Amino acid sequence: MGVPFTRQLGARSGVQLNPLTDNTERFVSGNADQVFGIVGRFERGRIDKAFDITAGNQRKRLGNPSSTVLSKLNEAYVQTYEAFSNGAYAAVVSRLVPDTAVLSWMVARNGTTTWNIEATPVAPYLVAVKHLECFNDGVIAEIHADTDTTSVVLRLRDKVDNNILYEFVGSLNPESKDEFGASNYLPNVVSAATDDVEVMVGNGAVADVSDPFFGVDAEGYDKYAVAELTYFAEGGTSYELTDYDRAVQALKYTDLEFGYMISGGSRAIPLLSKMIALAKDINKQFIWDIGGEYTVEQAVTFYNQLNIDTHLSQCYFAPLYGDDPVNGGKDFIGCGGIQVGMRCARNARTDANGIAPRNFVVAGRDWSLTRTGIVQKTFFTDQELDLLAKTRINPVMYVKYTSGGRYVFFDSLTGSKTESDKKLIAVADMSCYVDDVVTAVSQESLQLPMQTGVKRLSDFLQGFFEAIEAAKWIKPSKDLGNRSFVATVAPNANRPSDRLDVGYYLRYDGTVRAIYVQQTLSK
Amino acid sequence: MARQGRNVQPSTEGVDESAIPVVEQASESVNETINDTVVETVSLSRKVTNNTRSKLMFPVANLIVESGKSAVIVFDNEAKLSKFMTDVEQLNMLNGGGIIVE
Repeated sequence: MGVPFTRQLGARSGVQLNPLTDNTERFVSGNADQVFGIVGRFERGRIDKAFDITAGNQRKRLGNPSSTVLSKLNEAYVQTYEAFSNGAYAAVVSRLVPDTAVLSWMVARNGTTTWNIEATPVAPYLVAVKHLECFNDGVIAEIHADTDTTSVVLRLRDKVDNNILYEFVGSLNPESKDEFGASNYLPNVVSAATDDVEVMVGNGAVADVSDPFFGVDAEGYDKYAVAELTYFAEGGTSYELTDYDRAVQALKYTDLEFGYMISGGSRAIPLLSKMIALAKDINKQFIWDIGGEYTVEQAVTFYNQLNIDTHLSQCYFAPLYGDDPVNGGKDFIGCGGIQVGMRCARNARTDANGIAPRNFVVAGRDWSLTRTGIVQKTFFTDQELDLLAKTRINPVMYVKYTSGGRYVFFDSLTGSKTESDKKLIAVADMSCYVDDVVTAVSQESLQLPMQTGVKRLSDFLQGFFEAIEAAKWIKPSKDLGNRSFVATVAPNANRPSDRLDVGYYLRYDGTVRAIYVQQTLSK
Repeated sequence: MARQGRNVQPSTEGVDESAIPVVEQASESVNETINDTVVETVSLSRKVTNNTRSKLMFPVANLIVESGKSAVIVFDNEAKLSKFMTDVEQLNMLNGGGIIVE
């Protein structure tokens, strides 16, 4: 025996080594708070579920950008781009399409007209391919068959740069196996590689020597049947309420995590209203814009008719005519993308306890806009600024400082119709994070024995609240007996065997929004 | 980034929402003659009456309608009219009804 122990020692003499017990687990928050969710109209992207993108693959996965001058719907792409360039790690995208959108199959058959587009593949066919990423501009499809008549190479190329999106090498024979004994039947090869492409193989499909994609050409190169296929029809851009519902719900029922949501500059009342409802449902902050082309009266009326009263709605109004960083040209483009990008960048900067400086709200002098060529089209009077603050709209505007003027987020108010701490974005940002962390840890404590669960949660809360106190998120309060936090973890009195009550009281630090200065001359 | 400075590319699907539709008195439906048969096209004019307690703004038209007042909006394409009707539908849900479109 090579090892001096056994795992199960019976009556005999010997050494039993038990599996390692690990009590070192600590809570790690991950970087979901550097990711944002967006619902918008794009040229590419799955329509059946939300998907994630990064700065590196935005063009590939969302398609070509178009100017906001052509359609304000294109602002979603620009805002996503600006969020990435200001520090967002990734985005979870729900693509908005009307229910008239049609995704067809790309069908390859024996014979000279190899590729066709069909709503449902009609037998007999060789392979049928469904590309679930729904490119408006289509793809270049290629197929090649080896001389054994069942081995095929299937490729999808990007029409813009001709790069290969997917390449699958497999067999048309369902019983075929590779040299390691694993199935290399083409549909199995595809499903093992990606869930963005579906492939079906026709019954008894085999390539024929007369096929233009069979074997090699006179120079010995593999022969391919190539076709540009526009297999997806977006169905226009007129959306019904159910279309908005579907897109918003896709953000709720996704396994991808995100910390914020943005509107992508949408002016659609149903979308904004449903996103605010979703924000309340999933406890995420929703950062959205009022069209910069509106007057103050229009902006206030637009805001008020949405009947908002939640700290999770955070609205910005930027009457700024600036350069479009993606398409060139100038237009009114909302600053929600820049705001969420800056918040993501801030959240990535954590202290020794893993706590980000969320008590520093993204507003004021230190967070000037990164956009170029800005011209402010509306200058606010004192009364208009008062009205915007009362309405809970945060203006984005030019402000002069002694260190130089700049375009900044001028205020930091949530949509909560209250004068309590809930009206401050910093408090909303911190309290959302605390709820997210505590619920995540609570979920990991489910199904543990009651006493173990109580101890684990109590220990965690003590450490966590001390950490956010060290980060100066919370401060001592008279109501809490000069402590910054009070937390209780106890089995419920009525259902002590299966229900655990967790409660916490926190006194958050605030934000300097108003400074009153008075000089008095003394004799 | 490589994408910076990309030229404006025409959209195949996008609809121009930047233009402000003309607000004027109710216009008649447009009649056009095709093969000697009179075909009545869909009217792009709508009269909207705000019977809610709030002042309302319709973003498709950038139009504010005071409580108790009405206005006529002429849309320059059906996509905008469709957007407008969706907005009205949602505003009616938010306000418990009261916006009437004729």
